[in-house]
Amino acid sequence: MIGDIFTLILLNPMINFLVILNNVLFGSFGLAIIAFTIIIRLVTFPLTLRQLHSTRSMQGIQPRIQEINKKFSDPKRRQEEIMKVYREAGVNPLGCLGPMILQFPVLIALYSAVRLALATSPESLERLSGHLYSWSFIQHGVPLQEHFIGMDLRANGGSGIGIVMVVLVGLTTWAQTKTTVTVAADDKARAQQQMMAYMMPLMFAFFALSFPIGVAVYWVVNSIVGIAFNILTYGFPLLKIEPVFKARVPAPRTPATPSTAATGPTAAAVDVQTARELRTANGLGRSKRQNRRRRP
Amino acid sequence: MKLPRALAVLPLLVLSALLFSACVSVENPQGWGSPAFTSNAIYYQESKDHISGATLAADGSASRSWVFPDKNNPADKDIQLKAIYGAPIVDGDAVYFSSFTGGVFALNKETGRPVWRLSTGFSGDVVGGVSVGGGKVAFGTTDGDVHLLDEKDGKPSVGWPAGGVHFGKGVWAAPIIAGDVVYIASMDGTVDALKLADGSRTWAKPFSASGAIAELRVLDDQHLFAPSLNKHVYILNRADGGVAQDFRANDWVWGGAAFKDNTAYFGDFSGHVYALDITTGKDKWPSIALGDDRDRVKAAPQVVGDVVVFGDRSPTIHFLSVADGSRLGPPFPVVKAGTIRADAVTLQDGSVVFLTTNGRMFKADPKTQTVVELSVNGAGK
Repeated sequence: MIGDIFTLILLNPMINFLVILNNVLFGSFGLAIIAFTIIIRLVTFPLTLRQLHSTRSMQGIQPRIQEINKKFSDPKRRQEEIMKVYREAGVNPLGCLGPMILQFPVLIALYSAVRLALATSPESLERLSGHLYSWSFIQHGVPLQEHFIGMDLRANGGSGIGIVMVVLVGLTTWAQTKTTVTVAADDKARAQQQMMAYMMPLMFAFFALSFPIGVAVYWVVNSIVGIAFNILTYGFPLLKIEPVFKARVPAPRTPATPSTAATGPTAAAVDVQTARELRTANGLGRSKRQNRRRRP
Repeated sequence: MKLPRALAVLPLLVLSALLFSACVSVENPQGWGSPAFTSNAIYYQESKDHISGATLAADGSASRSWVFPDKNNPADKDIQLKAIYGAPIVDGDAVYFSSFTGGVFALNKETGRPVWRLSTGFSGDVVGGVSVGGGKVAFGTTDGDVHLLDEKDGKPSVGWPAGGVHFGKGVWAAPIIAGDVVYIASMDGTVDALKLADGSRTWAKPFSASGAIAELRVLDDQHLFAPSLNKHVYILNRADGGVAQDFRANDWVWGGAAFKDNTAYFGDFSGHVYALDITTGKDKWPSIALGDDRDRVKAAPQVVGDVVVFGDRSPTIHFLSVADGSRLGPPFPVVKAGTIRADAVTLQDGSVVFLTTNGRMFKADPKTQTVVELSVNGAGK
């Protein structure tokens, strides 16, 4: 049932769009994959942007979260204080998950569309027929041309020139993780993320060995677009590139003094007071629009 | 960093990647080559990686006599067939066939050992199978080249253009050698006729359709059957490539046709079957839906007497009346046997055999409208 809905609403339109692009772009399926990936990522950019901003905001309040973790031993109290910080900063701890979850089916459909349209075997072409609309412009486009800049898009990444694509998959995935802002609450988590930054590219390069080269082309373009989005949102200090879409990062709070580290109602009141002082006219890290939404 | 905790992330990563890749499974090549029968032997694709020869006894029982490649033979160690899409062709002492990625083979029909093999010197995969005639073997590739070999030794035929004759978008249909002409269909929608001697064109210009042509058959001395993925079926004149009839089906037609009394019987991917009178271009009877939309008809049917026997992908075998398309007996579902994609074959006794993608054969009797399995002793070992 879910599979049928996924196919009807996402997969089939994407496959047909891919075939249309192929026909428009001189029958070059490689160009169609590139254009298709860029267009779909641009269409879902508002969601991506929200996710990136949420991640950035989460990262901004991490020092305060760490401070609370150190300060309060009672888990219930600690949780209350953390939630308070989230509220004051206008950050939803699940804020980055929502856009990500919404994007996930789109990304899966994007990947599946490329894989299906490639029709690596006669059986695959037969199966593709069930996904195509009956418009003659689309029907006349199949089978799609499998050669692109000297590569057979249907061949496995492990064969011949496909190795270049495997290396590119690894490199671009690594570059994407390096330009991504991560949220780590402690050193252990940070160490794990560092390890993932190296494991992910290796793993995807390994998978690319057995995937058709057309899928590797999609993956590389997808990663490059991801890198571009990351740089546009977070900037790239190494090259002195400023972010274009600036996130409202909550201002870091002054570290707690030893005297305020004591627990109790008085200390908590002081905490809240300090947090209030840090707010802007609209509230910390909050826009007028967000404030309007909060009103009953 | 504590190593165990870090390693705990790995299975999660692998699992998510596997889930991601499994979201849409892509079908691997399985092949749909139909079996070849002689009076006392069967040659068929036993599995996607093997072709077998079996002796056929008078009582109808069959026993496997050889399999190729043979896992017990070191010489076959590096041979991978990876699906056979065209029917094996028996000519003289040899069985000729092509495999998707393994090339073209000539095997001794008694022993199953290679007489010759061509695995290099061409680019692309072989989908359509081979055609044998006039001492030559023809095959086309997905890269669009049509090659002609000497039947005796598999060497490129003298006079045929070196590197083959190129057609756009690939040649998926088996070329047809008929007399001194070879007919070729291409996935760019063209059909052409070339001289066997030197590859020069015999028609003034090739026929051109707007959709890919993945199958090509000779109907009779004057006509070709050229179904297209644009849902049209073209009946072409063999003499000049002119269109005798242009018929529109409900969906893709990617299969052969049975032909009797100027009528072509075929099915499409919507599960409809047709009886097309090629002299008038009209339906002999209205098209009939065999099952639901998923029961595509890929396999060419067979006409025996007054019965036309179809197999669909579900897989089910259907008996229809040639006269009006009415059902003769209930449809016969073939359980747990894969799908029927290979063309049906008529035996000397008038029964019709379907080979499924699981390498099982089913024998349909048009007279009694019954189906029994044709088991081959020793198969699968």
